[in-house]
Amino acid sequence: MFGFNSKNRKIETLLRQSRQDFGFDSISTKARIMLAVNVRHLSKDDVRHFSLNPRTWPKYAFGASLAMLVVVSTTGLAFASTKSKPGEVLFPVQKLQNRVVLSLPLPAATKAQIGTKIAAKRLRELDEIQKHPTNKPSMLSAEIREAQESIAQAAALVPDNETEETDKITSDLEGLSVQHQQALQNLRAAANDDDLKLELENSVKDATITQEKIRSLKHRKGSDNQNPQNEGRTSGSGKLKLRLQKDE
Amino acid sequence: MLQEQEIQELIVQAKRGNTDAFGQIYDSLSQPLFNFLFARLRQKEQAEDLLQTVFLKIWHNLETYKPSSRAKFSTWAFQIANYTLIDYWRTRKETSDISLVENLSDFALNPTLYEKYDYLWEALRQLPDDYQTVIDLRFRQDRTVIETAKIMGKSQVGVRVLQHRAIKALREQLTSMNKI
Repeated sequence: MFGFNSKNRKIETLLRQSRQDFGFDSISTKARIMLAVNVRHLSKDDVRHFSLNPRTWPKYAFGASLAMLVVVSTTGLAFASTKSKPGEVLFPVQKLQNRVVLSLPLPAATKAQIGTKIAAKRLRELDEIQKHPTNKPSMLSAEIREAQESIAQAAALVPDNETEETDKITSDLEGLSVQHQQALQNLRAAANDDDLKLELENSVKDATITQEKIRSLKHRKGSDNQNPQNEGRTSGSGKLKLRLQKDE
Repeated sequence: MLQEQEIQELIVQAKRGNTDAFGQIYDSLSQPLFNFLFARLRQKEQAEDLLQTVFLKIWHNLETYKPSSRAKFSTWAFQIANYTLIDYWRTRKETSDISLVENLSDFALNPTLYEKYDYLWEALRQLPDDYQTVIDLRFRQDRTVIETAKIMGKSQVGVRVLQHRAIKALREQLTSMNKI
């Protein structure tokens, strides 16, 4: 009896000694919760399984889209509740809000549209810098980086299925990528600083690659359209896959 | 983690719609709740998903929460977490992708400690769900028998019996692994 109890106690001690915390993305998780908490329209049914799993999207798309609409209408723009720009102190908050919005269970085309709007905003900011050069090179570098990332991210969000909507999104993105490249070339021509020139040259190369990816998206859709046997087949080569889509 | 009295004050504010107060409750409880969910699910994304669901359920049901001198707020939160887990398994377990099961060691904040006891975690994984839950609550989350009974929806006697069986099963498992 004693031997039995002492062995049990030994195991209990081992269990206590092995206690451990595990890492997770607490900030993003909190942001998603707080977004939902602040949107009063989210009903209890929507909460039943508030999931990032795309399989549940059709069920929650309406409620989540409504939540998104409420957030957009009350904040002016869900992804710009702060007016901060890349390089500014509060910009990471804005980025987090963008991530939160893009992680909501929304239809894929809606997310691609939002991604495109974010990219357009970054490009407007880059345009402004062209017209009113900044004394802070770090801010320019940040803008260049963010503009590139936002276009690449928007391209990755474009769904595979061909619709009028996705056609328009791809065309808009192509326009933005051309604009982006032009802006970078103008900045490179005007730059005096060698480091900045080098950065801009690399950015032009990255922008060209992204532009080609967007064009190949458009042409692949075009060629898919011509071949009836390709209907319904998803093509994933060359496309970035988001974490959220890995269950599809 | 915040003291119980601080949490109770935050709950009062949260019930009035103060979302910042609710955010502080999240800050205090998210880690232990995540540990509980992740140890059972072994899939980080799913655990984060369920953690979101748990906190949204807490938010939506806050009005029904009645403070008690005999039970902490965290007991109620863990109760919700446990039922959310059971609910999740009821609908998903058979279809969940086993290839997505992750190594706990990849996410352990103290990898050296994890390595020292990784055989324990492995042995636990072989036990039935309710054995794992009672062991986790009693010895990792440090819950009392009364709290564990409330979380699992059992009687105190039921928890003691379950705990005894769970430890016995764990001991047998460790013996078969030549660890004790």
